[in-house]
Order: sequence, then structure tokens, then C-alpha cells
Amino acid sequence: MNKALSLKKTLSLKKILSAVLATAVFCAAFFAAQRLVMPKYMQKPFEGALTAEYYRDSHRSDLLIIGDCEVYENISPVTLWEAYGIPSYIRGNARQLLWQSRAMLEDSLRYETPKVVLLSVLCMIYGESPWDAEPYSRMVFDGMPLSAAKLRALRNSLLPEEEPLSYLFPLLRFHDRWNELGADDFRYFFRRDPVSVNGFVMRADTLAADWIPTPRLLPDYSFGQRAIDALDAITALCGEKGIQLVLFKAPSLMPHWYDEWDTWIADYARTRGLEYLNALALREEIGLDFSSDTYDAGLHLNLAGAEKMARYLGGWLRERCPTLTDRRTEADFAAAWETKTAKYRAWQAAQEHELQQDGELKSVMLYQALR
Amino acid sequence: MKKTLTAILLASLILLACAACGGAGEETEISANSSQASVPPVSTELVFVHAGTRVVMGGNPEPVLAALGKPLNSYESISCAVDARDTTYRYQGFELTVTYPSLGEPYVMGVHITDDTTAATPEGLYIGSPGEDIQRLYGPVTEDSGFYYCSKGLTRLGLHVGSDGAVDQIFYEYLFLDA
Repeated sequence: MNKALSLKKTLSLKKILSAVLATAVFCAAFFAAQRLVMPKYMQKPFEGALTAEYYRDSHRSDLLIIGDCEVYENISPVTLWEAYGIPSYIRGNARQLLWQSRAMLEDSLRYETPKVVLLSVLCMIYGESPWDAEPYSRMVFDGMPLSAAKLRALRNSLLPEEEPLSYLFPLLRFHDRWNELGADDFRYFFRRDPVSVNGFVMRADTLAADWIPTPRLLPDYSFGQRAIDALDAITALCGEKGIQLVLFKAPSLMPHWYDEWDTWIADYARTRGLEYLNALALREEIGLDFSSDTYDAGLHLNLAGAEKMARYLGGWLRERCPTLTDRRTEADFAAAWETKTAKYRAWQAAQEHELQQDGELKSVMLYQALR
Repeated sequence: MKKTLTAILLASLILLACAACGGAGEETEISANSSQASVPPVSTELVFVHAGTRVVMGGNPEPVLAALGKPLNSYESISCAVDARDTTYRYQGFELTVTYPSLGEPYVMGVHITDDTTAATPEGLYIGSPGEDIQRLYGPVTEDSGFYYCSKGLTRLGLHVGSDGAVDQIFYEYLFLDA
């Protein structure tokens, strides 16, 4: 009797073990396949690697800069450190929408609480996800761990034709890359190389802004409610966490920043006691020269421009944000930033060398080449 | 147990095979939206004409650019991170924007008439025309926030009348994205 019972128990235990093993193998195969077919962003568009890169940093930023390409290519965190001792990190992605910036902030607060958040306001111009949002949303979200903030932002970001599950299980979106897997997909199966220094993407080359198209009048200058709601949420969250929020318009010449938009942002800041820096209006004071400080005719700054912008921004923030102190005398910060600065200078030297040799920047991933 | 393991391995293989079975014709890389990538239909109903050159919104820009000759300036607006760009070419009196999608053929995206001396619509409207001329030349038009629109096919002519009662903005745009 006892023997029969024992045999029955052993059999049912075997069944359970088999089921557990089957589930484990299935999950392992699923996630391995997913990891393999997902874009690695180690070649263009390497901006897609920026989100994930944040989680490999030490998360000790007094200043968190959040936004789109108007921050990750326009402000040098190393200059902010060298000139003012402000440790900063840029959490930006290509055309990061306001509700995605909100998610970036919420996500960042799981790891650190900065003293000041500098928020790019250009993406206020998108009240809904634009028709071509999907590749950009992928770059924002694919590297972000699952969180309530991510799920909320996904709900706001998805286009009607997009499959929500594919953001949780990207294999559903990228399965058709199977037949075009390249060496990078295997090389970067377990790891990624850095594509930025603290979220900053460097371009040392120059393409002067000779002329920009005439801006058209718009029938309506109001921002979309979804963007306004996201800005309200960011303002509230910063207030709740004791973080000083600063609104920022980068000095990029394009897309055109209308006076009506600027007035709205300035009013919003004033009525909520926020600081607002319109660097576009102050470009002469900052010392920006668009014949030499841009690499794409005014859309973004190049390295020289980003360093000028950071030098001005640091002083401007120091005057208005008393919590931002000089950390250069603190040994642990100094050591961490010495390493970052060394990488930054090596990256700069490599780009300048290539420019001197070939007359243009050809290497997409010069940073990787340095490793 | 052996049977179970075989079943597990089979299930895993099926999963991997499923992962591999993406449609061959589908877009397979991060790039601009497929609607931008495909060749847009061409509207021939509202055209801008300059010095005998017909500029059809949504049309092939190459013969147009060749006929218009060297522009005074051009501006390339590259999409962040994806390989798509819009290039605006400036000619005397107007600016012509061409979209170069990441996949597919380039097409004329729009024309913006920018001065009152050298460019006008084929119907005779120019910057500075009396606002009343809009109805006279184009018939019933739709109005939205001070803008007047005349649409034919996938081309829209947008007009704005300033506070002095004169037309101060004229543009043609291709409505492919809204279609």
C-alpha cells in the first residue's frame, strides 16, 4: 500500500518537474530568440542604445537632463562637470515625446533623485504620437525595464496599428529580422558598447547653417492636451519629490520655434514658479556661431557648440538653482568624472583625427572603436 | 522522461521556427513608417507652375529639379536616427520641399510661395492679392482659423489673409500623410 502511494507520489513529482522544466526551457528559448532578433543599435540608429545605457551608470546625477535630440546632442555633461562641478546625465532619445519624457523621469526616480531636472520643451509641439512614431518609440522603450511608468507611456504612445504586446515581447515585432541577422546580433547578444558619455552623443564635424526655410504661419499654435497633461505630471512629480524643474528650449534653428509657443511656455513657467531658459533667443549671448557650431546646418550643435551651450547653462543654473553645488572637491565624484572625461577626450581626439585625415566623420561608432 | 524532454525540445524548435517565419516582404528594419516608405499616388489636379515647369505635389522631383535649375539655397532636414530627410530648395519667390523617404522613391512634398514679385499660382493669386480674389479664382473654399483651403485629389492649396485684407501666405502641400 505504502509502496503504491510512494510510486504515485514519485510519478506526480516527475510530472511537476517535467512541467517546470518544460516551462523553463520554453521561456529560455523564447527570451534567447527575442534577445537575438532585437536590434542592437550598435550601428545606425545607435540612438536606440541610449535608454539601456543609463542603467549601466552609477546614478549619481545632481542634474538630470530629459528630452529629445535637442538635449543629447546640444549639451556636454563633461563641460558642466569641468566648468562647474555639476554631475549630470542626459536621458534623451530621438524625438522623445513629452509623455515619454515623463516616463523617463519616473523611471529615473527609481534609481536616483536629482536636485534639478532640465526638461526640453520642443516636443510639446506633438500633441499626439506622429504617424511615423513607431521606430522612435522602439528606441525609447526597448531598452527600458518593465515598470508602471513604461506601461503608462506605452498606452499614450502607441499608434492604432501597433500591437501593445510587442513592446513587452519585442520578438513579436522583430521576428522577421531572423533572416537578416548579422555579426552584431551575436557579438552583442550579452553586452553592449557605450554610445554616449552620460547620454551625450558627440559630433565634432561642422556643416554651417547658411539658410533655413521660411517658416509658415500656422492655423493653430496651441499645444496638444496630451503634451500639456504630461508637462503637468512632470511638474507635479518634481514638486512632490522636491526637485527643481527647469524648462529648456535648445538653440537649434530648426524646427522653427514660434513666438506663440515660447510665450505659452514662459507663461506656464511663470505661473508655476519654474525657471525657463530659451537658449535659442540667447544664442548670441551664449556665443554660438551657426557657421561653425553645428554639424547639420542648425538642427543640432556640434561638439564646440555643445560645450559653449554647457558653459552658459552651468552658470545660468548656478544662479537659479542653489542646490547645485560644486562637487569637484569630492573624491568619489572626482574619480568617476575623471574616467568619464578621459573617455570623452579620447572620443573627441578620435573624431578630430578622422576629420583631419578624411575630411569627414565616417565612423558611426567611433566610441566603440576606442574600447 | 525521455519523451517529455523530446517534447520540450520539439516545442522549442517550433518556437524558434515561428520566430524565423516572418513575412519575407515585410519591412525588416527600424526605419520610417511603411506609408512613408512606399511610392505615393500622384495627384495632378492642383499644380504649381513656374516658368513653364509644372510642379505636381507627390510627383517625381527629379525632372522638376532639373528644369528649375540650380537653387539659390537648399536645406536638408534629416530625421533624427532614421534615414529619411526633407530637402527644401529655395528659388526666386518660392521654396520647394522634397521628401526622401528611407525606402521608396522621393516625392514633392510642398511648395511655399514666399514673395510677391516673382511667383504666383497659375490661377493668378500672389502674395499681396486682395483676399476677395480667393473665391473669385478658386470658387468655394473651406476656412479654418483664418486659413482658406482648396483641395483637389491629394493636393491642398493653403492661403492666409492678413489683417490688411491681403493674401500673405500661399502654399501647396501633399496630403499623402493624412490620406
